Amino acid sequence: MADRPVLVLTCLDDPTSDVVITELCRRGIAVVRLDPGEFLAGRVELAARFGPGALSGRIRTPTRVLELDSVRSVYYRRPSPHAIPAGMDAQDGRFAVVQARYGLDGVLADLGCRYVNHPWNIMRADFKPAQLNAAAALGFQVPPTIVTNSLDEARRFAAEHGPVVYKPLRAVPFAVNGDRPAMVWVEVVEPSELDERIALTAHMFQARTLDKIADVRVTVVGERVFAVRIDSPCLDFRQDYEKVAYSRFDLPRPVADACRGYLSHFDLLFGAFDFGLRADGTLDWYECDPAGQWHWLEEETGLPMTSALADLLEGE
Amino acid sequence: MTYDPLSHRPWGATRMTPVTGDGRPSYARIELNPDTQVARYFDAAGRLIQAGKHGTNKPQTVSQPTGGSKDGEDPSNPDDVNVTQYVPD
Repeated sequence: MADRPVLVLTCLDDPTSDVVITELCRRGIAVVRLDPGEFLAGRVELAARFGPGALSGRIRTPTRVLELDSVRSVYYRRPSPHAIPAGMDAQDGRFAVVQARYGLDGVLADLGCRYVNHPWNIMRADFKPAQLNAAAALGFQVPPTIVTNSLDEARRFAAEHGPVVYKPLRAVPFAVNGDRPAMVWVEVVEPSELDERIALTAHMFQARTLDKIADVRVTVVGERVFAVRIDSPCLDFRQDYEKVAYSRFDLPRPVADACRGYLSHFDLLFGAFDFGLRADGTLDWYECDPAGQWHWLEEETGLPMTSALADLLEGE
Repeated sequence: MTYDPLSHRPWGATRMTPVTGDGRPSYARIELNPDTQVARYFDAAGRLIQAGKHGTNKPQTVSQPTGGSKDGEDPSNPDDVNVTQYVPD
């Protein structure tokens, strides 16, 4: 059916979704944009019916009506979390949030169509231990890594594999100096910097890539693989985008195939892989973000990622 | 022995560094264009900001007054935070 819409699940401020939606519209494909975070604010109406036969019913957004049995595909980008509405008691609010998650999100996760990516698969692929295990099993060159809350173990690891870097197991919204957004840059940690506060939670340390000459970002969209070399004077290129240079990178075929195998392992159709490029041309595995950013790399290199993503969502 | 709040901070949290800029969005208001399903951004004077001239799609953390997170689905998270978490991969 030509009018089966693509459902885009994302917040209002998401330039990447804007680009994808614009491309789908150019192709004549209907789009319904929905931010599940608006549900508890009363701006989204849900009526999903079950029983003999398939799921039916609809979701009304402030601007569109989505028939639940007609969805072509789902682009799961950056939906807002369910937030307790102003004026609602905290315990009632937690109740409402959990019911919304298992009700609305439950319906949105079971529409019987293609997901780029399915939220439950994103969640599973978001755990660093699962990433590291899968990467090693697929033959990627995984740097020695430790996840620990033991100062002694962290020190022993640093002695064996130093220099080491610290990477949080998961990004967390964080502010310092009042309300300034903050994050942890990838930096070498001197053994003397480690202290007993390691014991307060889980920490991940990784051997720094020796002879690293650049980063390589590999964006896989379905079967298509887009590789970009990122040159920066910083160990962590995100520290200063003004100093970054981008170029298309000729990814060795076995690495490209392993990336596809990785997505297959987690049942994903999209992944943003980060590697460290060594002087000898080999690639150290760092991570795969199942919901990573990619559009700025298309702007920098001209690699046709938007088109590839629209192909996936349009379907054959 | 005196209580030392610094000793109660996870080591990793002490590695947090402010990102460049103040993290505030470059727009004053956003609305969804009902016809195109694409967002429209306006500056403080109510003027339309050209597409691509607002915000960022680079991997970095940005806080915002209105939600949006990488994982609106995390069942272990109370989700009552109203901070956007742009994937800092």
